[in-house]
Amino acid sequence: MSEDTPVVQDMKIVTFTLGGHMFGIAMTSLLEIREWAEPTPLPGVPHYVRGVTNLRGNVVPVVGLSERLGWAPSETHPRSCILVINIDGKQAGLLVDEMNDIVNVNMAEIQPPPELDGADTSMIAGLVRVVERGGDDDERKSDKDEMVLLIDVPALSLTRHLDAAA
Amino acid sequence: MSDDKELDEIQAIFFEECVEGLGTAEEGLTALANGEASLDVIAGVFRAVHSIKGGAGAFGHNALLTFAHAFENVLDKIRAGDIAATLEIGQQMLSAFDVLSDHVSAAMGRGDIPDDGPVLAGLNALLSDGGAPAPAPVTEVPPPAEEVSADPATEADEFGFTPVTVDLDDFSASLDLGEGEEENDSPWIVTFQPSRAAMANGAEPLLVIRELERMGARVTDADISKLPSLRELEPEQGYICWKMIIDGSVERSELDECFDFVAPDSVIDYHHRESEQPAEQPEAPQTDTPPEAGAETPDQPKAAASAPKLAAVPAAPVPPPAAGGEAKAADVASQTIRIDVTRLDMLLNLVGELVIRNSILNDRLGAEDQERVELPQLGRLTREIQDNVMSLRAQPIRQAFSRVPRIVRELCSATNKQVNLEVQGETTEVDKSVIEKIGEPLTHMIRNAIDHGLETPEEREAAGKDPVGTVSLSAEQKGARIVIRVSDDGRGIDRERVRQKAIDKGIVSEEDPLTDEDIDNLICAPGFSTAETISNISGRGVGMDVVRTNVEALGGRIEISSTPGQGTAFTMVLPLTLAILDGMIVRIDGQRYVVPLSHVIESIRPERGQVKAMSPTSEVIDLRGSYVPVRRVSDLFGIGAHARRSPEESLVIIAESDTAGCIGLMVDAIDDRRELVIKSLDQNLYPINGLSGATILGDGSIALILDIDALVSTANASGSRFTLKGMAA
Repeated sequence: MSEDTPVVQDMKIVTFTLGGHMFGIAMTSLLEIREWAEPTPLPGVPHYVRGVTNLRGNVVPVVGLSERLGWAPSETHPRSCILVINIDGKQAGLLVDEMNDIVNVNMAEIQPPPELDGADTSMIAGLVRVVERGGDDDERKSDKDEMVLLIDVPALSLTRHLDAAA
Repeated sequence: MSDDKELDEIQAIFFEECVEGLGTAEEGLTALANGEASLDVIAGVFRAVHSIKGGAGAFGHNALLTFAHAFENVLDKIRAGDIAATLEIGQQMLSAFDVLSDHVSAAMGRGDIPDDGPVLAGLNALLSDGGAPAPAPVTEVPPPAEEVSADPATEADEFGFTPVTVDLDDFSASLDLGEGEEENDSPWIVTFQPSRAAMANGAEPLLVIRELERMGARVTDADISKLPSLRELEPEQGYICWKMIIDGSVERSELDECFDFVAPDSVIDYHHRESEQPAEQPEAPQTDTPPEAGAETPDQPKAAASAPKLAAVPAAPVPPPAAGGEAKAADVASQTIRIDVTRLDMLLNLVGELVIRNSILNDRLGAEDQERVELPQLGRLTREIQDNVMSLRAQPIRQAFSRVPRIVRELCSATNKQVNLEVQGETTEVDKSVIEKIGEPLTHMIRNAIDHGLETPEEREAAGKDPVGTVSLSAEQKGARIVIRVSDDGRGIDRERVRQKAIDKGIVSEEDPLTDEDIDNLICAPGFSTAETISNISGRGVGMDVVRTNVEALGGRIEISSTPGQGTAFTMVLPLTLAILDGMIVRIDGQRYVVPLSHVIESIRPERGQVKAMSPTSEVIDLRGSYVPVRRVSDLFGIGAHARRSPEESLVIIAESDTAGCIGLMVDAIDDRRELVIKSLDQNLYPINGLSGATILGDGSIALILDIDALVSTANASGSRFTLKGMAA
């Protein structure tokens, strides 16, 4: 993995793809990565809450991150996985299409999302450019720049009592 | 400094004991005020107040100390029969008790020191009427412990300790000699050897001895035979045993006070010279010593040696009043241990996991293998462990109820209403978290009942009712639920006014069709209050909202029923435990759900025509002549594939709710019946209407636990409850 000289203002992010887009979340929120398993559906929850799953004795909600961000629901496939994250002490699983990498980014290089009319960017913490190193995939041998959308984890507000906000 | 921290911890324990002590005292005093107090009860109150006083002295809460002292003296007189235990005295003591509680709160930093002038004067008046002068001034109490918990080595130097011992044989030999008499003017022989624990707790032996000297004691002997060589000397150990003589005119109670704050395993003995009988047992019973004392090992033999003496003393015809009771208290204390709740919870979680592992084994092993590895035995054992661990968290709800009488008393005087409080089911055991969270809702509900519910005595008489209103508070266990009810026989909810108010506040609109039940529930809407004026009793518009929030946080519900002119009842329905449930696992549309067994009445395989459609979306089942509504869980929840099975292919589980009657739940199959560990959904998500939690099955998958009560009310109210919630927000 990308172990280089740690600089103070660096942060580690874990990157993943979702519907062909590259996203990232801060490593500090990530608890673990699990294989996709169909969760138990819940009644009366927003459409993006796919259900709950058993995480070592804890009942943890599984959220379709794509739906949450307003994209089309992800189709699950063998490489789908669940990122288990920690939001203010509560755990949640995010369904993502494919895990990508763990990279260091310089916090100074993170741009706030530009204001656009009609675009809901409230759940995006910022944009950052990362150099994609050739992974296992043969077709991506050459390094290239890619824009990563950093997710604002608390803004997902997955564990808020939505009923009260309705 | 770690000493400070330690001191804080000890003080925290003291505060806990204060709270417990206040509870005991209030109960006893209430009994007194009702004319039901026995001497034992008064002695219990005395001990409780005495402990509070002791701690107050040790921690330098002087206002509390002074007041508790006067309070205790009056109790002492009542106990001795110098003051008659009349109902008036009981009432007076109760009011004084309220001031005492305020003092305790102030000491805990939760309020200002109350103005106790008039009440204190009242107590002192009682004392002077009773005749005898108030015993021992306050100054006898050892100073705040921080002065002492400094470097033990320097302390030892200050004392100029010369080493010593106590001779246990001599000590017990003296026992068999003659009966002691209370009235005896011959000099007291006092023997005192502070223990290691006494030092550790910050007792100051020097101060004790000085105090005794102030009372005229002369040290006759200091036994230094136990003193080891300098190399082996432990500065914190007590080696010296002092023998002192004090004039016989000194009251026993004064001696008692001197030794109040010395650790229980210290050797303390005083008796009149001639009688040679140990007038009072070693002070092991003192309840005001922090529990750590017992943990000290080096002095255990001494403590043990003194214990048999209790039994050896023949029951004196008139035992010293305090001694018997305090010995009892010691028995109880020695069998209790304080444990941090988080450690209990950890244990509970682990046991929960053990239960799950057990059922996984159950699933995976065939019957024969199960026998071979003795799985049933393991299962039984696990269940027993589970039951026991669960019971550790259970506490009688009395702890939460005990604050109510005071609230009622205060409200009575504030509102000029007359209230008779009836309490039932105080011994109902509930989980500790329930007790913690129930206090505030309870306070609000009682305030509501008295301030809003009950009419003034004049209004009541005009309406042909007893001018004294009744507020009842009850708790009972109903299956896996705890039902706590606060009801009054007041005017009931004025629904028209509530509705108008809700419209004014924009909570509902003029056109909303509201049932009586809907209107009653509006009381719990945030920001709703009907009180015309905001008094400091209620009417700030947060009360019932808080009640609802707290109750829901406990996984419970609140229900309101009201009959105009006859009264209102608020019912809190709470889950019994947070952990275990006996459940029936059912299968619906490929998903598994749990129906709590406590709600299940029967399950039926409907015959053709037994389930009839009432409308396109509702069905009823003909159950031996009565029609019970039938719901399909997948319809209620709006999830799952909708291949609607015919009723003949399904099973109907007749489930009973605590409050709203029966319902038939149509399910595809019943899988199993077993004990399950409840996992709350709001731990990682939020509570979901219709579900009371989830559980993890033997194969690691999750099954949702159905909340029958919520399902029944949803079914009956056809969704109005959900709408209401939306409106209220």
